Amino acid sequence: MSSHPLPLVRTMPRLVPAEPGNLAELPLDSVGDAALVKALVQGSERAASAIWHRHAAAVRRTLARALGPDQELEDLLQEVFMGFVKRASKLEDPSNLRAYLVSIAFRTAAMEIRRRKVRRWVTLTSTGEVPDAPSAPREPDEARALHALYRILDQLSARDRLVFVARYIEGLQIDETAASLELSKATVWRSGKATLQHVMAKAQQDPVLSGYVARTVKASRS
Amino acid sequence: MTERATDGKARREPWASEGAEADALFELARSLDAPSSEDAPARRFVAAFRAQSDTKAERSRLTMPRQWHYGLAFVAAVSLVLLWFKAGSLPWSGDALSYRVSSGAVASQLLEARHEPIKLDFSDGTVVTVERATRAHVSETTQRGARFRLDSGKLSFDVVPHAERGNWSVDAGPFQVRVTGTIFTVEWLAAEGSLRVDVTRGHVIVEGAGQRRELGAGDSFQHREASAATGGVLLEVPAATARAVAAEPPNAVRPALPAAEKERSWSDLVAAGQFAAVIDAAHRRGAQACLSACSREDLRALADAARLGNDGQLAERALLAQRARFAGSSDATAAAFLLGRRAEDRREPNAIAWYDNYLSEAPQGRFAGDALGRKMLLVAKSDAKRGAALAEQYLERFRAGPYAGHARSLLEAKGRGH
Repeated sequence: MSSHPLPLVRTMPRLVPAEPGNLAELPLDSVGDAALVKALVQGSERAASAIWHRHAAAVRRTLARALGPDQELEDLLQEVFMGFVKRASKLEDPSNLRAYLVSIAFRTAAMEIRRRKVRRWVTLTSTGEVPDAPSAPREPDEARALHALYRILDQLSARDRLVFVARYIEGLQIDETAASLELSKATVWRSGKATLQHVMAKAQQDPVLSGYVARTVKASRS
Repeated sequence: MTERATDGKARREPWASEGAEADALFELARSLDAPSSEDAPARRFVAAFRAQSDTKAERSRLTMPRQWHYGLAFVAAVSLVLLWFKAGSLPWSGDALSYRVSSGAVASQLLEARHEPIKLDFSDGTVVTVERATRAHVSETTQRGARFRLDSGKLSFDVVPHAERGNWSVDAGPFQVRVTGTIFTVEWLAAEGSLRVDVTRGHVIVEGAGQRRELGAGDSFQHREASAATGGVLLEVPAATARAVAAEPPNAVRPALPAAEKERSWSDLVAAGQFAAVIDAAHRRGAQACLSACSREDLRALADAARLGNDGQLAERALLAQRARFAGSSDATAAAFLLGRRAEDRREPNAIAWYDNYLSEAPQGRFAGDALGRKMLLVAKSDAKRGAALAEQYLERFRAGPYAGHARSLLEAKGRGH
């Protein structure tokens, strides 16, 4: 259970403040996001840590899916959370923290995608590609297909790519995607539809991807 | 993937956007979960947070005592008042710009110039003219400009340049036209999907439909959608031609609108993102009449246009009409899910019932994962145990679905006894 505003001081007067935010000895798992944000704004490190442990996995997953396999995500993850810390006091609906963090993750990913494109233009490496970080162990077939899929996504604009990821990979609805990416619903609708068709067509032409998809579909039907 | 042999040659049919192949691709990308059990990143974040808090505290320690703030604020306020008396107006204002509407028209956010143009005089000296046969809205005014939504017709701008960058923009269909200080016109014919921008002075940026163009003095830009399927053709018109065309009376094209509209179905208009055009057309026909008698395809297009065009009430009526008139159809089933979404947005308790309806009517439908996932989240808010049961059900069916992370969190919370 996570989101009810806790009258912390009233319910637990004896546990008061060894640190700012009145969360000294509270079982943080039971504290709602709104109370954690309030405590973080007041400087509570425990609240900062609790927010990280509660939401870092979702943010990391969003970044991973937006940027593709074998990317070094830790710096970006820190960027997302520090961006949140800077704006935490202005959050309109702190109980909706996960959605807010995911929207920062999308914006951070957009900047990273643009940075990568610039790096490719100025060819910082001999191949023009950023060196891969060590990859997690994965079935070679699936790994090859994943790289092929993200090669297709690499050809898209940052906006179209993130609309695709938000709508179809993360499964956000149009209004949620629009809010996360700060786009109009109309733009999300058009971009999503056109990008999906484009990605499907390109994937079908790609021998690695089309082979992988054929095997997966066959296995799911058998 | 489907392959079919014809005359000895293999021919590949294109993958459908909502088929098993698409699902396989999405699942592939969803496998990128990048879990991390390390504690070091969390410690790094907390350390950065601590450093930032310390810097803030240090900064506030080094700043002057509060009494000094009051003293300085008083001196500043007196200076401003003196300046105001001297100059007749404040050098800047924190307020948003205001505007007066000419020709006796009522000042409101909706601007509808049927027979005569309407002129808006903004407090910074900028003049915006709503030309004849135009419907537009002032969406927002800020300290440095205003944002308009042009439903259909033509707006003319004479923007006063500011030392600080001005912030004026027009949303027209899928386009946004942004400007700092300039004279220009924007014409948007919603039913034709046609945008035209003519710049007389200054600099304008047109963005939308996958395009971005920067226009200078004398430049024109025109976009016409050849068809919804092709997504449109971009034409850049030589300035001289543009001026000649712009000289035509703006109402010259008006009578052609209904005919043009007839050529394009509502579904085509929705596909081209012209939601306002569909909503307008429905209102012209009579919304209720359309809800009771429109074809299934038009009703679906109207529901989509209203949903995506932010007319929630009309969307709800259209979705309910789909349920009533075409019960048992795929549209009616999808409408149940979309009504659930609308109820959820409005924090109405019947959202869960709509999701249940959808799940019972289309247990394998395209929104089944979403309906189950959203139901799970709603139920978990008030009943953690039932939420966890739904989470198990969700993970069983959609192991790598978009709500799998939420489902696992609910199960973990249950495991911890919360």
